[in-house]
Amino acid sequence: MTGDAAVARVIVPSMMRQLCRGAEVVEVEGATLKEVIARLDVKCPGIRELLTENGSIRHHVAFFIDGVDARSSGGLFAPVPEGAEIVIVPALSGG
Amino acid sequence: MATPEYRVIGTRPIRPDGYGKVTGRDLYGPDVHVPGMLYAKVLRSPHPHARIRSIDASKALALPGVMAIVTGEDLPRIESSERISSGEESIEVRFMSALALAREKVFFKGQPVAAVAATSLSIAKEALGLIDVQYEPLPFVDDLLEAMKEEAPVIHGDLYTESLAGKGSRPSNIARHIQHVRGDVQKGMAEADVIVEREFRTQMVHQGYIEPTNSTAYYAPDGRVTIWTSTQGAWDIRSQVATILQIPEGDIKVVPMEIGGGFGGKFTAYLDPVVVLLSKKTGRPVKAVMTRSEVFQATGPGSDAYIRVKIGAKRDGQLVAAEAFLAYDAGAFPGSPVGSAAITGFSPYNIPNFKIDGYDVVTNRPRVKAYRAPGGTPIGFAVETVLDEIAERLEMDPVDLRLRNAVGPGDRMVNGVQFPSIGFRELLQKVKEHPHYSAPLEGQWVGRGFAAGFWMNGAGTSTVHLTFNTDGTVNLIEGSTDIGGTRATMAQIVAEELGLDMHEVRPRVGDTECVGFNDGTGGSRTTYSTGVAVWKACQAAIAEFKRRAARMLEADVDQIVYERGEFKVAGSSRSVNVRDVIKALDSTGGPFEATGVSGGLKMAPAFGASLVDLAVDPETGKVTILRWTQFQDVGKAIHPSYVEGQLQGGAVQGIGWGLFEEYVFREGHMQNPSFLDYRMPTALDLPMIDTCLIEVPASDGPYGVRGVGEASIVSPPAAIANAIYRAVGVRMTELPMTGERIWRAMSQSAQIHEAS
Repeated sequence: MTGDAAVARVIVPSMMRQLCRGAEVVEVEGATLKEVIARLDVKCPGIRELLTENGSIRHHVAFFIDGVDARSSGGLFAPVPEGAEIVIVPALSGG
Repeated sequence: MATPEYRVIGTRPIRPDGYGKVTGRDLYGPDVHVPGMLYAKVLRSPHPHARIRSIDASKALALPGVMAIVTGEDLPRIESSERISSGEESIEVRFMSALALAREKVFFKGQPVAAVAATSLSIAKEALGLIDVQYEPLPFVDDLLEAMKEEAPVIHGDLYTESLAGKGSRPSNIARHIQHVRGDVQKGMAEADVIVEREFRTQMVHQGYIEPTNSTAYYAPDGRVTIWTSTQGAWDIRSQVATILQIPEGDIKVVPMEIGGGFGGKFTAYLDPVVVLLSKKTGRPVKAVMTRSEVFQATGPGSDAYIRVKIGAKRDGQLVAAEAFLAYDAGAFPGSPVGSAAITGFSPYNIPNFKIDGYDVVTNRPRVKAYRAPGGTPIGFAVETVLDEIAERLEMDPVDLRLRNAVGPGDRMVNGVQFPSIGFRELLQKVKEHPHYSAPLEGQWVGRGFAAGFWMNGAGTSTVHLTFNTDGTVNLIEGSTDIGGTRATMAQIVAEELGLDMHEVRPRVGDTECVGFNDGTGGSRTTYSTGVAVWKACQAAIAEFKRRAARMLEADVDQIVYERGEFKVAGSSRSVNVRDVIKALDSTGGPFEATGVSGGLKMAPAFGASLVDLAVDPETGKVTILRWTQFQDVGKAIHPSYVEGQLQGGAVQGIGWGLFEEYVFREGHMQNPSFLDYRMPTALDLPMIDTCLIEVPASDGPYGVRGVGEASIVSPPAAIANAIYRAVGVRMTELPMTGERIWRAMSQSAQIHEAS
């Protein structure tokens, strides 16, 4: 964890809220998505395993960091700006 | 007409690839001919589900002219659950491999079992009949609701239901469960003055691209592989072939040929690994082209679906609660577009309480693929039909009901992601103001229907290069397959930014070795994302041109000002034109190339709507479309003719889905695998499709562009259903709305009226 890590608001989808004691929004620090997930796993034990696989974002999951799909902005190394909103969503299939 | 601020953007130049298209000189996959080439044919399963007991190819191999035969045993065995991209969805590698050649079991009729390479096509065909395959037929299920039942045959013994909550504990045909929840649905429904709940069924349909799936490959003695193919995503094909055959990606070059349609269906390496294997075995190039019957039965159609929608509204039209149950057919292997479907239906509206459950279900049918706004059309049909009924119950204008609840910038999609700039409200307002909306509609058995549609649109990553010629012209090398006129659109961006004329820009689609990585042409992403890459490359070129112009003008680079193709020395009359800068590159520092890479873009969602007038023949139920207007927020139309073409194409495919098209299955066998029996609309079925472009700029990227390829297919079936209701008083809940189905619904309705 970096010393000046930003605080992000993570929006937790309904099917994962039981891991977060029912919370829909969890605030965690992290300069990258990877760091955010690591910190989130402390508050929502077990969530990291559901979100990542083999060192990458799990295929069925997508993260939108301030409206940008993290897959197109660095994956787990996507930067997380101060005050960012990170929405965890089921990955989409498209046309 | 160009808009005031642009010189080229917004105009309608002739497409650079037009000459090759209209003269027939462009080369498509089936046109590929390489010296020494062999011809391949694929032997396919006659069973929807069976164990392969044995394959004896000895007689076929003995046939003169047969050079090689491959089966699933020739593929590397991949046991892990590793996944791979197949366009805009991912699939486990073992399933991708099984789509190329089955091993041990077949899971749908038409699945490849063996392939022959021979010196002629007729010999290859004859050899197929000499391959002896012994099957043990297994119980099958070819209906998604049947497949969801506890007692249904389990198709994959190692498939467990996955969701964001984890993995199920026992094998199931339900591969995936998706859920979106907001608020309290029960409480919301209790507050509603009107509640409408309906069930819907839609059928499996095919993209119907005219050019059949094809591939030609050469495996050189040094292990280097070249593949000439028809694909929306050359890099997808490269990675799929590399993974399935365990070949380093760098040893494979994929050359995307001109493409005769894709619509989401040409992202998968069905034939490519097979012809590579056959080429490796024979040492000669090998080509395969599917028949239409093979295309229908062995490539990926669009999902059929079962949908239940319940929506509650207050008397003033405010939507207060909504529920949806979606089951989408994935076919033989997981991967239906239920994820995007679950987003598409309710996201256009602010609904405080909702619950959406989506299920990805495997059956013994062909494994589905994306089809234009994948998943969107069935759920659009359901939600927009229910909204029409709510408007009717509330005696409210159907557009006003949507306006009352329409999302705007900052509102959230059902998955919680905030909308950036969107133009749904502007679009709805435009519909109300359009002459079609208020035009008199006269006659008996006629009706006017309206429905809206939404598609998220993709972004992804693109790479382009610009190189420069000594005559002052520019080469634009992109990697995005041109399906809808994007070479012209990208050339317009270059011309606009560099101050050139369109004919001075030479766009071409390169292979995987001559340009950097590109996501595929899909998800309406190309004009948006590749457009950003082109724009960035132009800015990089302008920066270097400034340095060169400074040398030519004997000024400091800081003094150079660029404006519309002219490099000027600030505060003086000295200037040099971009063409002269390009011509002088060799003498001002040597050649260079400019590169642009896009990525990290915000979404640029698209909203559309259909307005239709139609007549129903009360004797036969046959629908005649009388007038059609397709609306869409396009952000900024770079080439309006191609944008209009996209809207018209989407509307036509939506009309086909709504009125005619369906896979007919009996005992796991498709009954209508030809264009004779699979009814697609023709020009004779349709009036002119009018279009109305609304331009609300997107948040990200230059010019405010949005992708325009998909939203237009979401609303047509619902608009047709709503018009049918106004024409003959029956609510259609099953696609396609054939004359027979409408006639039966009318007869049933009449019986009910008589009985009451």
